[in-house]
Amino acid sequence: MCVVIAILEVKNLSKTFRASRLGGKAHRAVENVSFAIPAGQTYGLMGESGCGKSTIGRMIVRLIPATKGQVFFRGADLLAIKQRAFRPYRRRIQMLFQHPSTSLNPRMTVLDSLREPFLLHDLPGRDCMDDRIREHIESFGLQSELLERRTSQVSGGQIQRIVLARIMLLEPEFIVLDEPTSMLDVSVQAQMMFLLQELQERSGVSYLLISHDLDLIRRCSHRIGIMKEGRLVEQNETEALFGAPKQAYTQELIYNFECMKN
Amino acid sequence: MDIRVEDLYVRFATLSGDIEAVNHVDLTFSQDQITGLIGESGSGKSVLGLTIMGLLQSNATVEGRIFLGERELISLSEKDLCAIRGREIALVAQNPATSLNPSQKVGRQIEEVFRLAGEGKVDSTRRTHELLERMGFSDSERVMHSYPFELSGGMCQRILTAIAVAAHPRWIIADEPTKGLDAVVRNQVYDTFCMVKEQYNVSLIVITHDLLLARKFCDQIVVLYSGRVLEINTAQAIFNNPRHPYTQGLIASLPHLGMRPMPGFSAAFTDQPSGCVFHPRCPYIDEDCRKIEPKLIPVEEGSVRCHRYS
Ligand SMILES: Nc1ncnc2c1ncn2[C@@H]1O[C@H](COP(=O)(O)OP(=O)(O)O)[C@@H](O)[C@H]1O
Ligand code: SF4
Ligand SMILES: [Mg+2]
Repeated sequence: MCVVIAILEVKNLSKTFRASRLGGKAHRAVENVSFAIPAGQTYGLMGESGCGKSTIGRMIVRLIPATKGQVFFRGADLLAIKQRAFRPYRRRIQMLFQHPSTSLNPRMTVLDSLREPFLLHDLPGRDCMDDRIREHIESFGLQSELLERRTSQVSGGQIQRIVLARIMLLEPEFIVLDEPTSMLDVSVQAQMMFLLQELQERSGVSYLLISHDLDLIRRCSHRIGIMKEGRLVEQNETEALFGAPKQAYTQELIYNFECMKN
Repeated sequence: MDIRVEDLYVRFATLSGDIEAVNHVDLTFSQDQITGLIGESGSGKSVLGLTIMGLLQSNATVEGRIFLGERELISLSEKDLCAIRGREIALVAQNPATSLNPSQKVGRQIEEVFRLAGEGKVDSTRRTHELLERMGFSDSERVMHSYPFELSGGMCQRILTAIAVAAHPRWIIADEPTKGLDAVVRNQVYDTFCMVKEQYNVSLIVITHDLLLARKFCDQIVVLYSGRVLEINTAQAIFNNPRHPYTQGLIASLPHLGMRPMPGFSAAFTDQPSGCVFHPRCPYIDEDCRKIEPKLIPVEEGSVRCHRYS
């Protein structure tokens, strides 16, 4: 047992998607998953596509309801909280998606998209928000000329930064990063992950990093969980997991990645 | 039969002005070597592939020459190009999900290639089965009767490759064959390409930003940036001794090699830097770099576009 205080703890979390009226069987997407994320750290959730990683992320931020289980955020059971009482958590817990373009309205300018959090979450400093935004995005390596452009006219790597900048305006304590770089080039991925690590060092924000890229997960996570078909098959501190993978499935995953490198 | 690209420029008229998506490219794709075209998205990889296929959209203008053996392709009529497309040079397009016909079973789509080549119905079906098995599908019967949406991305990718291979082309251009695929599926795609190379005697151009795939599968690598070739060399030299600062930056960006980020972004095509296109991001910049565009300079086994090697 570690004595580090967890910011987020998932306990016996499960999700069964009911059979649709058109047919098909009920699908157990997530089964009894438990893990804890220490404050200020990154927990990497790794598995092949379709294994249930994103479903866990969505349940944590309450985009979809859980079938069973609990999610404790600083001790409070998020899933048991009433809709109204959950409101403050909508600011403190954020999610960054794989397809950044889906998180921004393509017809809005970058500036308008960045004003939104001030208006929606009633952030302080509304009267001077444009100045704050300008200053803020520079620390994300974005130039202020970008603010006038429509989000549809910005490159994929820059969009992802804008989305992150918008999220950080809210000063969240925890972010679910769902395949944040899987559609980006390695060079843009490196910039993005570097930025995320810097933010973590500066603000102490914690991450759940969801990815199918074992190299990325290894590089960026303090602790790793390996998922297969809805279950967490193994979890450990990063280097311990790579040093001595216990499950055959983990060994197979590592082997598949090493294959490409030799 | 080699593919030789000479003095190639591809320009697009766009709302924000004309852009040069391929800028003075001179390259030989040797039939005995697998060439990898690498570079970040927007660097012009797909446009180069589409230009070779004669498949550019109508807002493009092309200048230069592309030879397939003795034949020059850019000056060919659409009719002559049709005879080459698919039969001599086949494209495995970037997005398998949208490149297959969504409303036709995949078996039919492969059979059609055999039918077009003059085979009868029974033979076409038999050969489709054989081909799917070679492609690593153990249940070819089920796959033949599936629609594309019933198959995973990796499977669609292999079906597209099967369609390309069925016509026995001399060349296959594969655009981003592993994009978005996870490790196991990516290894399957790799195995499929190895099989194709060995059993079909086909030459390959692989367009990818998957550096590990490029290293493992390709003999020669071409690094593109803002429509220009920045470096050409053997896969080994590119990875073990990258010469261009951009290539060095790309490799250092790989998660297992340090994931050190390069500064800045590649410039928009409508706003290209003077001198060396990479200068705003280069750690070795000096006076000349801002003023004079470097030429491709020969180095051991390859060439590099950087003043530091002149
Ligand atoms: N039909 C077109 N009209 C205008 N611009 C285009 C067109 N096709 C491609 N481009 C531009 O050409 C550049 C190179 O694109 P592309 O070859 O697709 O890059 P890559 O394949 O390396 O990602 C990009 O800036 C792209 O937006
Ligand atoms: S020419 Fe100059 S700016 Fe360009 S890559 Fe070489 S050193 Fe860097
Ligand atoms: Mg492309």
